[in-house]
Amino acid sequence: MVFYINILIFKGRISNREALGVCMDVADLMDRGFKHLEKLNVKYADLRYQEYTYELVLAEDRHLREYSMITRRGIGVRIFNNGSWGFSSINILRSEELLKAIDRAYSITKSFPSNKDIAERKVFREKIDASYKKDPFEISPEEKTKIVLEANKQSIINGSIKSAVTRLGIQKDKRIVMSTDGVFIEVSSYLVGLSHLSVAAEGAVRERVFDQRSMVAGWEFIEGSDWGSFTRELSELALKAVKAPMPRAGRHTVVSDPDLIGLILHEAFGHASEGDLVSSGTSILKNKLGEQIASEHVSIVDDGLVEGGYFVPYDDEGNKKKRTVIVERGILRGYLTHMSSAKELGIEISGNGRAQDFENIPIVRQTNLYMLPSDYTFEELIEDVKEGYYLLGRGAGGGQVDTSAGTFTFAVGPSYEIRNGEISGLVRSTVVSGFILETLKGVEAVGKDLKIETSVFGGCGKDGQLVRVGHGGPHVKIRSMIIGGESK
Amino acid sequence: MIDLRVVVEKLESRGVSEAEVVMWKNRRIRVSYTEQPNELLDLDTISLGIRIIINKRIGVLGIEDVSLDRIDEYIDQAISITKTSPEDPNWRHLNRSYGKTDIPGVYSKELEEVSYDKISSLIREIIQSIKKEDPDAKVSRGSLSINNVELSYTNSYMSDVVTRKENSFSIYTLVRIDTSEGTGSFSDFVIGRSLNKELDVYEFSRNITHKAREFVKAEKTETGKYTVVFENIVNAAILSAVFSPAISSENIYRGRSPLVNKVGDQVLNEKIEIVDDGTVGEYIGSREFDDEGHPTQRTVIVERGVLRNYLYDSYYANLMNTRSTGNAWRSISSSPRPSHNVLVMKSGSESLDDLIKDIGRGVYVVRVIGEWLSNPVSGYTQATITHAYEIKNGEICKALKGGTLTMNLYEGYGKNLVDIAKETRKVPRVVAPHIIISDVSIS
Repeated sequence: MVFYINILIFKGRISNREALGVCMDVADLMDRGFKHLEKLNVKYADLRYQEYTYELVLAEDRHLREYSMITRRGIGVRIFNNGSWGFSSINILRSEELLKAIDRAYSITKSFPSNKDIAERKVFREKIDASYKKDPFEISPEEKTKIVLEANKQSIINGSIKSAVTRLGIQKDKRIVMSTDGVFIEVSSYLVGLSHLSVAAEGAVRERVFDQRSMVAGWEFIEGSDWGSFTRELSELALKAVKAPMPRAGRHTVVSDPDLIGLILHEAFGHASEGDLVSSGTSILKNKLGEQIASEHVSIVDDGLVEGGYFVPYDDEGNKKKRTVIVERGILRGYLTHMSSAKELGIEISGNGRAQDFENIPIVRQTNLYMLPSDYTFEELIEDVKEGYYLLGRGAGGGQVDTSAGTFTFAVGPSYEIRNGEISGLVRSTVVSGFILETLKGVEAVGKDLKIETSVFGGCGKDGQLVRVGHGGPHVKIRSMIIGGESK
Repeated sequence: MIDLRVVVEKLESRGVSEAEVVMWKNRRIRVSYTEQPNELLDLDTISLGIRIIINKRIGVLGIEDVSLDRIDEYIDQAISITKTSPEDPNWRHLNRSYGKTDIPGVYSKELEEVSYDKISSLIREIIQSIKKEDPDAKVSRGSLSINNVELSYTNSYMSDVVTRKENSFSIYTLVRIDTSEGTGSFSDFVIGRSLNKELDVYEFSRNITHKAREFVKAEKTETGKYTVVFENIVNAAILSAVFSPAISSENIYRGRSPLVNKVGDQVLNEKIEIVDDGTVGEYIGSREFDDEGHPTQRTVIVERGVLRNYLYDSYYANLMNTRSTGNAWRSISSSPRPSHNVLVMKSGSESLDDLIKDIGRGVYVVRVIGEWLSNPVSGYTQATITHAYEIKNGEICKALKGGTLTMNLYEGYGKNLVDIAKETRKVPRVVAPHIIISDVSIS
């Protein structure tokens, strides 16, 4: 789906200098870097340039607490030689610094020889921008502050709301990858969003509810949304949740909403499908291609271009991010890979080599991983649940997985009991856990809806690197999950 | 190189009421490995954090593009943002109590000068030791990191720049054993200031490999209420995720803590003593001054279960009419916020082996994930068990996996506390012993 992006395709080859025409000082620098690399005669190398700006406006309890901005600009140098990777980077854009970083990365590959290799690949040369209507950095600080303060004030609906924190986040990210095998990829995008946290108190009991809405778009997304309603609803939910009981601890049938199923899939399955973890033996999905690893209702894809998700047309190695089918009707069909893991596993590169920034090396990461919808209505999903829970993602705070032990956990927001096929009382936030394969095999039915979202306030962490991701899916019914709560 | 005093003076000449400039110079080396080294990063980074105040209006700017030609442009941007922001009525002034606490051992030459060859041979030694211990064992993931940090700070109330340096190493390894009976895995890490003195390669490799073997036959944990032994590493993780946010003056002021107005009250069991001590060289998190130039100190938090102090940076200390405790932490693009330097829970007198003898039916929780999903606002604590052992009649029995444990921290570390063992463990910014708690729900 390319309905919301502008793609500028250069037909035929263009020179690096032409492609970098907007920024000749960087073009000169990169040219000098590649000339130096030629002399070293390495098997492969890439230079990744990044310009990144992040603006945050934060209001707390009716007052502006912080207006901050961060700017990053630099080049990452990666060399593959002697069967191993060496990496260095600079954020002082001078040619002597770049040549020094190249020499350092090269000397690393000599000190750490190994017998690894990298996959052959198709070379792409393209400039691609995510579309937007209004540049958010052209909007005045006053207008941004006004929106955040108003949304914050709207959430303080009575004295039981003890704390209210509202954030506006705006990100601009431009990445250029150039390599010795001829890749030139430039990707630019804006990501904007607003988040809110309400803390409610009832006697000595306190409950917090957090949510956010983000979109790969310009300022039009912020000005076109009703943020007062968004924050007010969160406070209303916190006020109800603080009075609600904890769920009953134990194994229960659950129906998950699309917000939460994305998180479950990301933690419970997405990480285990990452090729570097598969090839090193850290994933329970190793050697399971072609096997039935989930119920027949489950189909999962990872797609770099999907409405509501993050914008990843190419990865940070310059590979095109394809729509990768990982599970098809319960059968494991593929893994997510980058240049090294694809070679080790003997499969195609899926375009999932992503780095947090120019100071980090690309590793295998998810982009927008989600479950495909099926044909159940919400009513059909809950109608035969005698006792269970309708778990909601709003207020959920993330999750974690041990891919080796096959255990995962994640937080859920205030949710509802299901009794005799009907939605019943509210319960407080808790955590849910399970075993990866057992949970996927326990998917009994999948809804017909689909929702995918991303966030400008967080992302996925792995090996100390954070990248933006998207996730989601339809409503899903799972036979049994472990819910934390009160034991009777 | 950037002269921080010149930046402050430049800002003041542009009409800024107060200015603060922080510069980080980092060198980070990180090698990832499996059965052999995979990738090595060696990075030098310089970054700059600027906070400016114009008549109670606050702007913060983080720059990781220190090509000097652009700094003026960024400063213009920051000033224009700050001028158009509304006032923060709570603003008083930047930190005025600057200085250094002398902390020997917070920086080692050994780590600054470590060679690629030394790193390479250490990693190969670990991999070989694991193979020697158990030929079926495979290193699934590993990493060795060395961080050298130099932070320089100045503000409008200072005439010079103060500088501090710290460095540390961390090594992490995950071992997996596949057998016809199942798969076992286990991971561990070591942190410290000296690879030569604090890393025992043989002991580290042996322990991980043996544990991975023990967990090949791990069974699922049964739902119920148990007396639970939290291994020191798990106790440290819970203190960091649930207790630390509750003693932050920011969360106290904002009403986001169950410990609001509780100084002087019995909030934990009388066996519990907790201090925040950022002045011990061997603890990772110790530093000579905090991120706004205030000297670090030892602050008593809990004394015989009674809450004695919260932790402050200068903003909240000014707001709450007290003094900063030297607990400001910041990233380059955010204002400082109060958080613990190194939380230290006092150990008990008996060994864990002796204490376990008194447990009839229990679970010894060795590793968890997701403890950070707990709710520090309510004290509701939860974590998912990845590795544990069953305890029956005072003895450690079979290995267990899975299950979610839940408790309220103030009940668990309060009336339900059974005992505290003498063995402690040092993790980043926390030092904690094993702890035994009754009536913990596991599902």
